[in-house]
Amino acid sequence: MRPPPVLVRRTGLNRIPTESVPRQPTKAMVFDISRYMIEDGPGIRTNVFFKGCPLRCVWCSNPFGLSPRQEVAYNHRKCTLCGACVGVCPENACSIEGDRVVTDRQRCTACGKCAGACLTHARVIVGTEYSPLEIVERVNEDATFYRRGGGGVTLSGGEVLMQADAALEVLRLARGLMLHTAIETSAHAQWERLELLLPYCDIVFVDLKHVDSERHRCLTGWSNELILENIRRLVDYSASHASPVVVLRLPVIPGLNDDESTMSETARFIASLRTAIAVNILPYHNLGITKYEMVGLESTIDGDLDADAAGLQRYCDHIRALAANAVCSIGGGEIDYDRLPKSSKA
Amino acid sequence: MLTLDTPESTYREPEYNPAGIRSFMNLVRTTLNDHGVEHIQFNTLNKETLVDAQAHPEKYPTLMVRVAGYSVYFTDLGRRVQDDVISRTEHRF
Amino acid sequence: MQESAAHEVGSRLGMEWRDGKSAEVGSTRRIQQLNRLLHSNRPSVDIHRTRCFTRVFQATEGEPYIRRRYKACAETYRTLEPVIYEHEQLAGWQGNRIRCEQINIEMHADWLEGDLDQMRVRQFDPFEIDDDDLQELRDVHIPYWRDKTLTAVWAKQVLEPLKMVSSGIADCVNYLGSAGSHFIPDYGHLLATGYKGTYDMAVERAAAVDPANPDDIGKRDFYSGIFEVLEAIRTLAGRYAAEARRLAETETGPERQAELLEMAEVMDRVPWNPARTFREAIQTVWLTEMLLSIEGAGPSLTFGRFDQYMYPYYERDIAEGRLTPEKAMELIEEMYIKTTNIPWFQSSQLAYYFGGYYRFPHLGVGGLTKLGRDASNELSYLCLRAMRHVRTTGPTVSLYLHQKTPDELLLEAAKLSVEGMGHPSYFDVETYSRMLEYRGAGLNGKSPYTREQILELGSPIGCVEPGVAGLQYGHTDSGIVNLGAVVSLALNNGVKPAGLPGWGPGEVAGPQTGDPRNFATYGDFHDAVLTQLEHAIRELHAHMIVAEKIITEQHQIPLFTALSRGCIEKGVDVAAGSAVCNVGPTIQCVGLADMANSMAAVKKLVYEDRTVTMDELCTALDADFNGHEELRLKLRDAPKYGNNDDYVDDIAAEVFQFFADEVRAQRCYRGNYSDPAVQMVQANVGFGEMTWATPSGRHAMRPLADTMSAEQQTDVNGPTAASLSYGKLNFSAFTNGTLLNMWISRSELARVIAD
Repeated sequence: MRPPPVLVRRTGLNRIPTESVPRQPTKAMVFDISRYMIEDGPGIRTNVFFKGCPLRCVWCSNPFGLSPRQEVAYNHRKCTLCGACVGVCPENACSIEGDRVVTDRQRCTACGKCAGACLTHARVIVGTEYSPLEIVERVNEDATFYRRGGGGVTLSGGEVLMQADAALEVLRLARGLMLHTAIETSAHAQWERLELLLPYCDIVFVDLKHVDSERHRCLTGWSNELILENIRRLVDYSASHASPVVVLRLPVIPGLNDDESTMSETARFIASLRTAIAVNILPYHNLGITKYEMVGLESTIDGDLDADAAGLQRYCDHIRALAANAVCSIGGGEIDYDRLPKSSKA
Repeated sequence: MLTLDTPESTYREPEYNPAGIRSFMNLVRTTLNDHGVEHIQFNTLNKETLVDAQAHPEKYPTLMVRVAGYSVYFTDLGRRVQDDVISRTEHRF
Repeated sequence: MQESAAHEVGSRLGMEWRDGKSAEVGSTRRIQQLNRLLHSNRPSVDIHRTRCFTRVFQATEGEPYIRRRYKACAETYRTLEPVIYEHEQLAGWQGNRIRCEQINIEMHADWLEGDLDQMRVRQFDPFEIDDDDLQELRDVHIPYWRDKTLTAVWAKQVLEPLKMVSSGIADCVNYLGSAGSHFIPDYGHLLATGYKGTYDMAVERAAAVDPANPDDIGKRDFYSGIFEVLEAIRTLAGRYAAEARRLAETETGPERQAELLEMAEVMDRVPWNPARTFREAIQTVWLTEMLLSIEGAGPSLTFGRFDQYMYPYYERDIAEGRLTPEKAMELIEEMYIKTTNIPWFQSSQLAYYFGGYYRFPHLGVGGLTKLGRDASNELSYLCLRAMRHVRTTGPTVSLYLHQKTPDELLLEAAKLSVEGMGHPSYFDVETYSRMLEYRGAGLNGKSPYTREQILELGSPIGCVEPGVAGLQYGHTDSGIVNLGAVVSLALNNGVKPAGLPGWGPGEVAGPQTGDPRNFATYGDFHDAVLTQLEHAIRELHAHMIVAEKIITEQHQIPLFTALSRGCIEKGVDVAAGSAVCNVGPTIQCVGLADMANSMAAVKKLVYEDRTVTMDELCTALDADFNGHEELRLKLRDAPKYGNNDDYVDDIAAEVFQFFADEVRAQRCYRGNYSDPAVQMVQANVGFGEMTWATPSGRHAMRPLADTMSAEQQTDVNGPTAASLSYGKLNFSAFTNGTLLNMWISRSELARVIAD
């Protein structure tokens, strides 16, 4: 073979300093690592989506994040009905019915043999186990893009607190590489799990899905006392430690949580926090509807739920009027991170 | 920022997505100034617009695309080149 | 069915839909009207230049070529019809109609005859022409020039002309059809001295010509020709001034009358004298740009660093209250409209690759000063802003980006990007500066440029090719090697696969590198590919240097010469090699991603995983994957360039470097070395049609990957991963430029799109 001419080879990048090697090799179950994300923290970011969520929000736009286990997803639009999956399945869980392959989810163990045999990638395994080091190596590939605009990594989900140990390792390693870190959480977890991560977070995005406990239970399956309590403790923690920055996110799902009284109650809750806090009103995007059937779930999304601009502005005005401590913005891309309030008791 | 007084102009500035613009600027700077790529250019049309323009060219008389180092009117291109432009990967953030 | 038929004639219909009204955009009513004028007219041809050339050449049979060429150019300029339309402030149209192009008969006669009948209706870039003109071309001009064009003479001198213009493996048809192109005039110097300055210099040098000195043979012809051409330009300006005065006499509106009189005064003064104001300077630039496009047959006549050489005039006018930024922008918009007005007249075959009438003018802003400070100024912003208002295809506006470039200017450029027109291009100042340091200098040499010259005058030509204003001459878009076809040759023992269009399907087109089924290792396959590549480059180069020699002998270009530094002093035409730095003919590649992906797929599946045998692969390729879809999908799953995957990116980097080194080793006729590039415009479609199925999993005759971008739909990890892949390539070695297309969804950048 001819000697190759001078080769451009990457060096250095992706190599983690040895002193930051994890103390314990906890694996994380992740269903996506997305690069060039811009709505969940400053700058260009990589989002790591942890798999598994305790809530069952009826509008959930990413059902891949619900189950904490690996599962098979099937997209019949890509399927050629070649039958390879039927042949390789050791549990006989696959069968062709009409124009698509039907999976018996009771039998399926998500062993992945069908996905390996599927040449068109109509069947894929959702959920990959990574070590925290592997995740941070992937994240760090884009390090040069984070430098401008203060970008970094955002741990999202699913619910990241369900895998708090692994998340902690990811955040710790990322900090070791001087990366900006953020988490996005529903705060539906024991406070200790959240507290564990806080020293390694620059920003915490915390969702408030409904301020009324009963409505919250109807819409997500759980009452909201734990969440409201965690938000209060989070705000206190942030004030006493001067870190992390807290952004309270209000996902707006038309007809479900944007009525007059909900808006007022939400605003009063924010006012009761008695500290300057960033509030981010998040328009709902119905992007996940096809993913439900891919993992064998019934879609719980009813009709067209996309928020309209005027409604969002009304919500924003409402909060401004009733909660003087809120610094309000609409949409993840609109947060001005240079002007976010540092938490401090009023 | 340069402000101009152009009351007769047909141009209206769109409402920008600040995070989108900032990240776009960072992407350009990093790709060029850090990674040393000599040149980069962008098509920033939504793919659906081009597909619609193929079907209804009369609706898009002045739609322009970047083919290579230059822009041309989409409707001036032959079908094969139009198809190729559409098949190039669209990066959504 | 009717609908799909409409698509096939795409270009013609596009023009009809684009009536004036739909394009009535601009920052002022005047600009809107001019834009309307531009778009109300179908591209057409004028045969004024053709008549002048035939007349002069027939009358000077047997005289030295340079004398005849210079005389013909002078005759063309002197007698050009001075047309001034309503609303105009800048004088100068290259033809007797709007969107009209002069035919360079001495370049085009050989193909024109065959295209004449379909010129008005051909699929790509149809042109209107008068019946009488058409007849005159057929009866008078084509018969005289048919066997004298560059292509005709070249075809007689080389061994396999047909192979080199239609095999789809290596191709130089673009070089043969566009002599007089790819040039940045030294506008700073021209504005400061006017054509008078050049004339005075020529007078001085002509006095020193010694008829008894053998070195001076031909110099008397050179200088008298330069005098005649420059005087012709002065005469033309005078005729525009007279026309403006004539129109002013009959004009009833006092405002327009004053404008016409101002226009007459400007034309009285420039371009002959030095410019004193922004208004005079932009008139000089425009008239020169237009005349260059008449003189040369080719594209890429570049404005260069407009915001730099125009700024002193702008600054002074603003300070002294003669000008406002809005007025300056209006003039710039008018210049953009006029630039877009110049269509590129090319053969059906070339239009197939380069369709869209575009002539690749380029205007850049930003960058550094000669001493390395940020060079941006208010004009940089105005040039970008003007494009948002006027929305023309030309010129290509670009931003020269350096760490020192303020974010504010980048934001101005980003806002132009949001408009979805593809403007602007973004260039890294340091990378193209490094390319210029090695431009035309071979593997171990350095170009004659100093760092100061590069920073002050360097700017891209055409699409992306690094150039230096006034110091560089040479064709920068000359030869093409199709890397997809090269892989195909290596898998077919040098035979071009049957069933493909163009020259030689089923014939031996490259060296016999052996039956691929006998390749024991990936190394054997790798070497076969590189051997084919090396051969294609050398064969192409051999054909192009013959063309280069013919160009130096019979395609002299006096105005290009007058606008290049040092050529008047030397008394030698710039096409003959008197520029400070000669470049070209260059060689570029198309299908870089296809080659890298193909090699990676073979390496991984055949020689590492061993899940596919070479025999299976060859059989599947021969059948264009018919009945082998499973194998094709396996190939599609192999690592793909553009995802920050070292496995394939390393192969891409190695091929890229090999190609660059091979090309830079080729010595050209004028003494410089060839330069490699990846810049090819939509040729990935045309060349794709002449390329068989490739191990990347691409079907036969489908488009190749464009320029240096990833293959269509294969860069799935977002723009940062794609950028990281591209960033692994050694750009300094690609001394003739690289082009990268990226697609960002518009809805992410702006919420409401103003239509």
